[in-house]
Amino acid sequence: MAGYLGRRLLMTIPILVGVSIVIFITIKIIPGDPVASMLGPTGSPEARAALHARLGLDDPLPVQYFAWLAHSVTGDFGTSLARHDAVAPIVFDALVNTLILTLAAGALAIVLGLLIGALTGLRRTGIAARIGNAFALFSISVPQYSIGLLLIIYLASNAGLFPVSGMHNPNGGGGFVDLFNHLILPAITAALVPAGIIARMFRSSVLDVMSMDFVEALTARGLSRARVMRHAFHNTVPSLLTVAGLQIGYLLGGVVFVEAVFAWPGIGLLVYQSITQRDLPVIQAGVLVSAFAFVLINLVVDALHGLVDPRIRT
Amino acid sequence: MSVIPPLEVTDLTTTFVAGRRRTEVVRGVSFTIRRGETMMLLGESGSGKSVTARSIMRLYGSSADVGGSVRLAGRELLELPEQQLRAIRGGQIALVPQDPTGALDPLRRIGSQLAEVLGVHGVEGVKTAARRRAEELLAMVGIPDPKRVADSYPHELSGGMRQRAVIAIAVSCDPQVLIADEPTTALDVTVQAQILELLADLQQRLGMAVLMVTHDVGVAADFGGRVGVMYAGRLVEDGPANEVLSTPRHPYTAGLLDSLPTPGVTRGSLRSIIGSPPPVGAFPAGCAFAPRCPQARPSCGHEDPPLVAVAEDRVAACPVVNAEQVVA
Repeated sequence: MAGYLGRRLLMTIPILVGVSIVIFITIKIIPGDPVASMLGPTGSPEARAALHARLGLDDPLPVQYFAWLAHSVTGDFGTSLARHDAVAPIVFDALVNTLILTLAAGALAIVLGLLIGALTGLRRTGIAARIGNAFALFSISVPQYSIGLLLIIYLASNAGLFPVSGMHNPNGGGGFVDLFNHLILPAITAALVPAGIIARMFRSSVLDVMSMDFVEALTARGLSRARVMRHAFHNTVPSLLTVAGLQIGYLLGGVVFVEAVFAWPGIGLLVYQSITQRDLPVIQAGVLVSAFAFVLINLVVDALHGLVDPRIRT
Repeated sequence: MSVIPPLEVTDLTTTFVAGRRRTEVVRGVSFTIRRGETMMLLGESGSGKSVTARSIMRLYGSSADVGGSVRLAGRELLELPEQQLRAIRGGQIALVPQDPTGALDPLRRIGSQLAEVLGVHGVEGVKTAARRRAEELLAMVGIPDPKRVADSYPHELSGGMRQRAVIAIAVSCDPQVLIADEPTTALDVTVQAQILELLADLQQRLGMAVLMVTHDVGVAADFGGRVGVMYAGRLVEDGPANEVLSTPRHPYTAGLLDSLPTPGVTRGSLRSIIGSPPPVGAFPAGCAFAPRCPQARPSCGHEDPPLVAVAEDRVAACPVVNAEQVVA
């Protein structure tokens, strides 16, 4: 197990380096000169050239890359061009907000996905299974922003059951209850697609395991139905972990639409706003941190996977 | 006073039910196995031999209607409530399935799977005692280092070792009847003989009645005991293995034997039975083998031949062959 974890940890290093290179190159390819947006239309060519030199933008690309990497590793992501403030605290605050939304949506997606997957996997016929299958298909197919807008219009704006947007009530309140109220609609919206995917994957996993010989063999040994089901569920955990981990990872980077629709101050909204403002340091740091978190979640999933399944930890 | 046999199957029928569709797979199979005796069910795939074995343990639940009578040491199993049946499964009657890899939970150590069965049947509830007993059982099935194997996961063992572990689980609660469903089919040829030897040895030591299902005439001949030849959900011939396999009294048994390669005979002389077995659920009227039978007469297509005594301790379901033999 220790060897497996060590190897898995070592493997994340090249992955992270690769990710950082891709991000760096992407930022370089994006059209537009950061200096131009920093100095505005009134900046003289001499001033631009001077700032170029000061920011190191005249250096060869590898030099720029390593300078950026060295700073990033120490937590220094530079200064925001639009907010004139250090990037690191902005990005980390946003990351925490995104994590809150991601974990809530992820938990909801796993619970829903498990229930629907188990229901449709164990009973393949009947009205309940049909509704479950239809829900899974619906939730995968419907775009998040349209569901988000519908929820805002009907449940928040018209019915007034939930706040329309944001994370906390600006006029006092605050605290956990307030956060929870603000969290419900965006979490439901973000959870739909992963819930559908988890439901369908878990359904096929349940079908797989229940058709395995050992279910019959365990019954033949005189085990009760409950005990047999416990063995069966245990055997679905590895595939469940894989799909749930991936979905939570995607949520982390993919809640941009939800954050934009609900004005949730997370990393997706931050990056989205920064793109329109050409705020390159924030974009760079936001994408890097998201990617880092994705890799980290996968590492945790792999560790759990090894814990559950003896066949892969050799 | 007559001794009650461990297993007495009378007129067993199994019909699979899926919605409104009913598929008859086993059609009236009867046999009795006495203590320490072996019964081989021999037949092609689709003949209903595995379904017969599983129906005895009622492993199909609500997906099949099982009729007739199955008496385990005099006790009717087909009318027993599920809860009492559970105590009997793995306790008085145990199963060794075909594929040892599929029969074990891949995520649990061998020792823990053994201990679970011991615990469920109340043989050894205490953890340390169950562990000791598990190692004893592994040693009994010829595993050289039971401690290591008890701590192993199924994927860490060879196919033969896995099948030994499965057999250890099956005999762990000292069953009266052991059902082995093609126990060697998934194994290497070299390991097959060892597993058959182990089963014969355990049968002798524990006095079990063994019901073995096989499609392999060689296995049936090796293991001995009685052999029941199945075709299209019925027994077509039943008797002592050495007699049935040397002087068959049913054209299907004869065809099976003819299709075996004989050492020393040149290639190309292998004969196969013409045609293929009828699809399950669409068995023809009359004798099900008639469409493939070289000796079929017009009457075979509509008269369903019963099993009749053709010699001492032997029955067969072919009036044509046996009428000739009586005349000859």
